[in-house]
Amino acid sequence: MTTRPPEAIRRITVALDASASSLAALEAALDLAAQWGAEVEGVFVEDINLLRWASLPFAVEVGHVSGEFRKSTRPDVERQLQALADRARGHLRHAADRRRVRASFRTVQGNVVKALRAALGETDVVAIGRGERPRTGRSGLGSTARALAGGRRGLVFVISQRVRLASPVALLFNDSAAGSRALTIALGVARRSAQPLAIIIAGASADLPQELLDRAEHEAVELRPYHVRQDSPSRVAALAHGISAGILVVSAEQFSPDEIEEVASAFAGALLLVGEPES
Amino acid sequence: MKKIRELAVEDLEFHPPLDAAQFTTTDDIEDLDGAVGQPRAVAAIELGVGMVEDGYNIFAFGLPGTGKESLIREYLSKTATSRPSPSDLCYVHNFEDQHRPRLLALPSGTGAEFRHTMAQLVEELLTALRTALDSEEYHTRQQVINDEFKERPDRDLRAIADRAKAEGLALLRTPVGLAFAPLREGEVISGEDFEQLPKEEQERLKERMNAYQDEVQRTLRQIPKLNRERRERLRDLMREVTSLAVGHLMDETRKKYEQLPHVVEYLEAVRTDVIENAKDLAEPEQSGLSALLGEGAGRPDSTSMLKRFQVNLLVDHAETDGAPIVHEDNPTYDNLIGRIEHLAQLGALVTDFTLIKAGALHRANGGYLMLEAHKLLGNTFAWEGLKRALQSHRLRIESLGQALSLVSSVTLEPEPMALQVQVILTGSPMLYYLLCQHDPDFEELFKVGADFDDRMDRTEDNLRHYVQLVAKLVREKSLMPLDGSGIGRLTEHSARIAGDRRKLTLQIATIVDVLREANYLASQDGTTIVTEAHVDRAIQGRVYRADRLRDRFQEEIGRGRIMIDTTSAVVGQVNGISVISFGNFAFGHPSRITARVRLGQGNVVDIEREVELGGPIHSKGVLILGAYLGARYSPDKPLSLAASLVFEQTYAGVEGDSASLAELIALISAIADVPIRQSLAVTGSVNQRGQVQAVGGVTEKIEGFFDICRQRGLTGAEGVLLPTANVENLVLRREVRDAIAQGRFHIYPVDEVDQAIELLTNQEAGERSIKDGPYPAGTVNALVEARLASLAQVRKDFNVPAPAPGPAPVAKDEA
Repeated sequence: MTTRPPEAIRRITVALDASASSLAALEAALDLAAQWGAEVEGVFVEDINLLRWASLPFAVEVGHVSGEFRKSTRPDVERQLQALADRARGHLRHAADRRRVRASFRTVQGNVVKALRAALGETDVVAIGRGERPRTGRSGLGSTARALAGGRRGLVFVISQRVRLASPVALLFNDSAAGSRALTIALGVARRSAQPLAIIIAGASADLPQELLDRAEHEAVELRPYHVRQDSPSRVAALAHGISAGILVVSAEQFSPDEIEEVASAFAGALLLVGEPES
Repeated sequence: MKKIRELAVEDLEFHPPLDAAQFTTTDDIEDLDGAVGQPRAVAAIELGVGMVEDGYNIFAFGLPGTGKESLIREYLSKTATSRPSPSDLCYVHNFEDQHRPRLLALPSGTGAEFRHTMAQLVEELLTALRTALDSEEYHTRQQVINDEFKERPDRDLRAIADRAKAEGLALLRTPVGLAFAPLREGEVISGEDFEQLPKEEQERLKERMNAYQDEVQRTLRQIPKLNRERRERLRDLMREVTSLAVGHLMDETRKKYEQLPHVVEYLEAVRTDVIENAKDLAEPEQSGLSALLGEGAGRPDSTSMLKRFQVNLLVDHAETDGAPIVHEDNPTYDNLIGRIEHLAQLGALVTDFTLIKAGALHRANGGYLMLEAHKLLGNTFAWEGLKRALQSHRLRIESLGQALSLVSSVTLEPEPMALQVQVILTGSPMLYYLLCQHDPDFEELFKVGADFDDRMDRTEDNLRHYVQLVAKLVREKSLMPLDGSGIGRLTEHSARIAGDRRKLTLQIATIVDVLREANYLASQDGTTIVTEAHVDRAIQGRVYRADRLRDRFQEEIGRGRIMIDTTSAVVGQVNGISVISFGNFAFGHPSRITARVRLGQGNVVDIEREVELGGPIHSKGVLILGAYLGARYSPDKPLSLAASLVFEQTYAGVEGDSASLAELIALISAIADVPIRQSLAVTGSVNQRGQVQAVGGVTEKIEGFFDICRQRGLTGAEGVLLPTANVENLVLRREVRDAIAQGRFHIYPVDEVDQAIELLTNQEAGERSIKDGPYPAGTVNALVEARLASLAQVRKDFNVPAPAPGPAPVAKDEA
């Protein structure tokens, strides 16, 4: 496995499960890929825990809609997962053809989170839908998205259902190595989408570093500085929402996993988390 | 026998004459107040218009152009202004049953304002609704309710999941549901590992899983109920917010119409509907196909919902002064009863209350409806529809398909309108009498028949009124005034149309046409007053445009192709005169009538009848001749002749008995072998007693024979015999009257056959000196009697039985 500096996005892996949320993630990932000239890989994970459960002789499920008990077997669940995978594959093919983006699809079996974390090492960005509001808990993120976002590794693109990439790009400025990578990615997205880059600067008002200004000038991206007193998740999210940002780029080290979840809950756009590079 | 008196030109003057000295032009004459010459029709109209009881509708009948419509309109106009204007009528949406639109009656002239008020109200309501539903307060309260209800099952499930996890169980999301599975080191246990667990542990886990499944089931089953509760709470919230938003707007409008309970009731229905459907109404308007195919297809979009608050102003009396007078000149079923139009949408025909269109009965309700009977009866089911509305006093708009139960598709059943209208039909006498005879409902519904005369007496008063009428028409039609000579020529023409010098025509339309044409000719001459010359040219022009066939006839006679003798004297040949009518033009022309006799059994053969060219009245006239001959000349002997009569060179049908005098004279001439003067023509019918009776078309007949004689050159011998009873019908052209005045043409009125015999044979007819005595020798009648006696004797001789076979009888004398 090689270290892959995230200055360029050449490959995006999308977690697909045929839900509305994952299909929205697919659309956004394809748009991003079209901007960067990247290829997209759809990954459908057959959850090993589900298959194990279905193998139990007493496996019973309660229907979502009917509330009725149904006995379930492994073949039943495999067929259902196969149907979902087929739908996801079909969506990927049609959506990629529309944008003329090179795309592939694979199905893997295993633990969903582990499988996607593994993918982080093989791709530049892992895109994932923010998830349906789960019946199993109150959160702005689904369990898989929460686990990935909280991992602080690689580039994780968390996408809500109605994200519009043709909107200003926001970046929570962080004067660190991770912050520098986040800046690089944010400048690249802003340039490719011909949108201004809103720089959110937390703490006492300070001038933007000359290097940043030079890079923006070099990339021909308009910079719009915004100041917040504290870099609390809710304030950052509210400001990004206020300037109608489509993507908020944040270096993962700036927030704890719970804070990342708070930002994701409060911000209606897409969240691009820049973590430690995979090695 | 009465003495024959030839008509002098003075006998052909008009009575009374027009005193043109009383005015210079029609500008000096006051307008006529009321109708001329229609006392019977006026009395009927006054009764009909005055009666308010059911069935007093009017059928005005008379010849075309007798001024029925204008007279009725004049009377109605006077009455209508003193009556109140009826209500304006609107159709509005029925919020309880959209297929039965409601009818709202509003004070006359206020319908448009109500429509505007509603349009403005709806616009303001929408603004208020959108403001209220966009408010922070509403959204916050809505969010609180949504969160409360949505979080409850999530919270419960999370609590279940947490408790289960503590007991080593995981809550899994399967593709279609939720399930529990035992965990080992954070992963679901495999089947083999589970089997390795102690039995007690297995049972415990199963039991706990079952318990948690029950809990999940209960939680999931609560969701629909919670959703219902949530929707109800949201609805209550919306009702509260929208009631406040629209309340004051509705109250203002309601106050404006508080005197009209049915409008207030409608406004309350609007208020309820707006509140109940506030969310849909506040949606942005969709348009075109997007409204049909876009998001939310299948539920009403705001545009179509807003349509429900429109007002379809069916009848607007803002411009009506008094009771309406409506004339429907195309009385189809739909135009009378009203119709419901449809729009094609995606291959289906759809409709709503805004597509209801008024009929003439809606517009005339509370007033008068004028219709032309022949148009009404010529339109399928229009008459039936009108009768049904008048009988039921309600006007129900339904298509013919509905009325006849031919279609059963979903359509509208608009609330019927109470009908209070007086219908005035105009038409021909024939239609009136046919309806009386064949439609049992007719006399119940049209109790008043207004009979319009086509002419009136030329009394001094009537003549004065007639001139006033002409003056009024001239002004109404913006024509140049007529001077006295023009009026004189016009009244002369009026008498000619009436066919009587002592009458004036009431076919006003024809008079107006002559006035217009004379006005045109006067304007061509550059004058400002219409004179006799203009009127005369107008009349001559009308004749010229119509008389091509008369010219053809006269040409044929002139060239001898139709043989008419006007100079010699011929046995058994008389010039009869026929009249031919083409449209509104009639002309006379002479026809040669010939008779031949021989021995026979008393039959007078009508050759026209034998070949079925003679009509029944003509045949009747001929049969009368046989009876007359037998009774007068051969009362005690069998009439022993066979006679034949024919109209020479006629190739079309002959009808009427106006030639029976001429035919009788031809027969008498043939029997007596006395020649007939061909310079005279004859018209008139005879009865069995030999009296000459009046006939029609005498003016045209005389002019027809005059034209032929003039063509050949008048010698002073030419003339016409006509029944004395017809003298007053003569309205001859100026040139004929001039010829009479100069003694170059003659008109002889006759009362009995003998007068005609003497005029036509130049011989005494002869009268019996005593009853059953002989006619004086040498007279025509004596010759006829002798010839018939001779024929009877010959016939008797023929009837001697033939001798029986055997020895020849011995003559007594010889014996």
